[in-house]
Amino acid sequence: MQGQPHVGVFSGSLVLLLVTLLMAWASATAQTAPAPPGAAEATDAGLLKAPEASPKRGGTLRWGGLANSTLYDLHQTGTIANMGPQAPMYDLLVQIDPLNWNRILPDLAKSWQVSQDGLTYIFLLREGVQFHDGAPLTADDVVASFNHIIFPPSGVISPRRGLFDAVREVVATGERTVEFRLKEPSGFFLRALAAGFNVIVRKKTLEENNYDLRRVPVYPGTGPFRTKSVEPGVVRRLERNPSYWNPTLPYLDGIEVFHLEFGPKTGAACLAHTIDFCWGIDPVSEQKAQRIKGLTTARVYPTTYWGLWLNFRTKPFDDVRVRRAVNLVLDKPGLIEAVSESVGTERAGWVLPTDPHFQEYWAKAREQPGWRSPTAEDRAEAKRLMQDAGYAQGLKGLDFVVRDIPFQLAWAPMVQDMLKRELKIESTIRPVASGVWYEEASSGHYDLTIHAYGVTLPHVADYWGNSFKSDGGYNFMPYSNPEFDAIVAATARESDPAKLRALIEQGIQILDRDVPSIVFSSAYIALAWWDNVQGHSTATKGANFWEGMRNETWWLAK
Amino acid sequence: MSQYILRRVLLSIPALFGITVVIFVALRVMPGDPVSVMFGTQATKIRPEDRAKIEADLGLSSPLIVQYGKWLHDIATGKLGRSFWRGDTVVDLLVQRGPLTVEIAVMAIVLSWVVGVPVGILSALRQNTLLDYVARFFTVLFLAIPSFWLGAMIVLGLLLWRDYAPPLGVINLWDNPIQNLQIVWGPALVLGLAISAYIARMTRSGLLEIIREDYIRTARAKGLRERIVVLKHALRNAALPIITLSGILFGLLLSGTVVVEQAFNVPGLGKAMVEAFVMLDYAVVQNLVLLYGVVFVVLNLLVDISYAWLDPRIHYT
Repeated sequence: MQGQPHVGVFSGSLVLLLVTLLMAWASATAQTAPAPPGAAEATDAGLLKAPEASPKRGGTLRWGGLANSTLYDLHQTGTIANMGPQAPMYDLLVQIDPLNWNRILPDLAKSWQVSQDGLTYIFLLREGVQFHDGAPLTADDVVASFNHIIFPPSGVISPRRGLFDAVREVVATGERTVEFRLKEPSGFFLRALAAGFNVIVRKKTLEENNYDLRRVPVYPGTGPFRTKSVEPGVVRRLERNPSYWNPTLPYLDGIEVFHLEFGPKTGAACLAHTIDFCWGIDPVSEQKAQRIKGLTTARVYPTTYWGLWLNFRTKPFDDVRVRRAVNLVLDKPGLIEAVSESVGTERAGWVLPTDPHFQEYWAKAREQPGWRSPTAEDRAEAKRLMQDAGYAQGLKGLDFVVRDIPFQLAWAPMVQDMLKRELKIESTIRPVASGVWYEEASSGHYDLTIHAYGVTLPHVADYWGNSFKSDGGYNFMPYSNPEFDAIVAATARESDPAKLRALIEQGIQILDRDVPSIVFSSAYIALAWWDNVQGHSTATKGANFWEGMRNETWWLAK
Repeated sequence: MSQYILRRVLLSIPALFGITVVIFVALRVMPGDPVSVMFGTQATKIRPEDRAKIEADLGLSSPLIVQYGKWLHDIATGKLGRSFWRGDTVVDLLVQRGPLTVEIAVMAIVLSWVVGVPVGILSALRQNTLLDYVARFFTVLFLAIPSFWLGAMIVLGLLLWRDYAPPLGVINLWDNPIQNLQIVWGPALVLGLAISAYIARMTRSGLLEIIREDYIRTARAKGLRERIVVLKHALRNAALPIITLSGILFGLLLSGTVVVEQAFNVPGLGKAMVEAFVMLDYAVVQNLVLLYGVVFVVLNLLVDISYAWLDPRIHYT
């Protein structure tokens, strides 16, 4: 009929339409198909999800490790015993990407701006975030949390205050806007904010408890889990937060965080699969775990110095020649090997293995005198230095204080023997309990002492600042060099990688010259998990020791 | 009898008072500072004014006599104080962890009698035979082996050969009997075997003395079965020193729980005591030591009272 489209035209058009629709649908499907595991990178914590294609929901993860939370205030402590059980309950302002570890993600802060001069950081908070008690997150809570960390009131200890020395004030400039105003630029400010302990708590919680949460076992956070029950020193049971601001997370119904002593006890529970995720197993259990099907191991690295302090207040340790002599004759690789089956430790120098600059530094330093196993030349040089200093006949009657920790007790007689054999330095080992050691070390009641301590950030401004800067938190030798202090202060301000590297080189030269302490090694902690634990990137966690402890993307395969 | 009990209770008060003085002084005299232990490596960063405030909060800045008086007041009012560290009360700790320790202790005592008495009887009746020598070998062995070592070997053996470790956490008998027994059997076995060695040796020596008595010869001559002669006549008379020993051994048992709970990782009072001691948590250590003292005194009173029941010749006035 005239005026009516031919059926063939209709048919053809319909087919074309259908094909077009099919192509559009296929294209859309391809764009939203899940990325292969490990490939996708969330640009925001609100978009975080497990890297696997089909994570399962439900189940209760059994986490085992050092978890006897004491001093429940996360702002006032510095131990895994708090982070393990408590970190899943709290969020940060910004966080290290817990799946890729390669950048800082917006967390409770949805976005931020930095002023041109680097002196003002403005954070815009996420909307719709609630604490576990239902109260909304506001800028006042963030301000209160950071004032607690940066400007603690009397009686409150803030180990990470030094990371924020550059901060002048923290101010809420709106309902959801927080401004950090700095005195000088900081090269690691965002990284400091992302440190795992700097969690956001309610302002009201702090006020109600007189700004001291040390003995408050449960206080609200905004995190993916909340406390179900606490048996102090035994287990903390966490349950899923149904109001979590990332609607995809968490996958787990709960987490049981069991306290197990570091080492063989955690290793035993791990190998028997009494726990699914094992924090802090001993080297022997680690080796055994590597041979068991279904178990995976990894090492994580706290930023720690292990070594020997020589008391500068005791003659002749104030003489750098004597310190250099001691450094030359101590066999650090041998000491590490001697305790390798009981504790995880590996070689380190002035720059620590967690520092991005370590590989470059260590490639040059590892076989230098003072870092390598002593050669005949090293020993001869040491004796010459002692002679020049007037101590060719050695020293007697030194007080060698040792903390009652197995690997330190093992090291003490080895160090004592090396010093006596090579340099005729005689000492008496005095083992003391940990509490006594802190007192003796900080008040200088020792001639030699083995030390082991850690800091928060793998950045020289933190670990050199604490260890070798005048009045540093662990500078008990005490060493003081204004030139070195200026370098450390400059590293804290520097964000240009090349300039930072140059400053580090200068610092290394000073430390090589002055030998303020004898560095033996740094620590690693061995972890293990059964193959039912998925959704995490522990295998590549590395130096992000305190980060990624929230477990929000973790799930259980069975 | 009631006058005797009252007198014993009154006499125990100075003993318990002495325990409080000894433990209070010992903790204060011991080197170490609770605030330093509390903050670990961060202790070195505490400002003097902060330390003073923390010590005041914990009651450590008061004169010692005031601290002691406050503790006695807490005991009298049943409060028992709070942990320096976590703030949970000592009463909470007792309620949470006490049942496991009590269960281990009771199982150990029962096991020690179930094993020790029969072994002692057999050893005495078969004196200087192969059975006697074997029994004596094992009693000496279990006397000599440290319980923590035996515990560690059991844990290691089960792990390496059976891939087995007991469940974690505090699981009471009424919550899950199977899991509870999995937790307590190891410590109870180790402690029970150690105590059974003492019981066996005392039973053997007691019986050897008794079975040579005239009345035992008379009982046999009358034609009584040997089982009746031994259990009804001989053992009853030999039981008094065994019961006395059991009361003393309970002290060994209490200290033993501290060791075996560590070895087996059982979250009982013994483990809590070790943790509190290492951390210089004065409140917890003081109160747990006092509690153990009270338990020891009460149990020995019960042992003494049981003599009157066992031996009609004994009257208390």
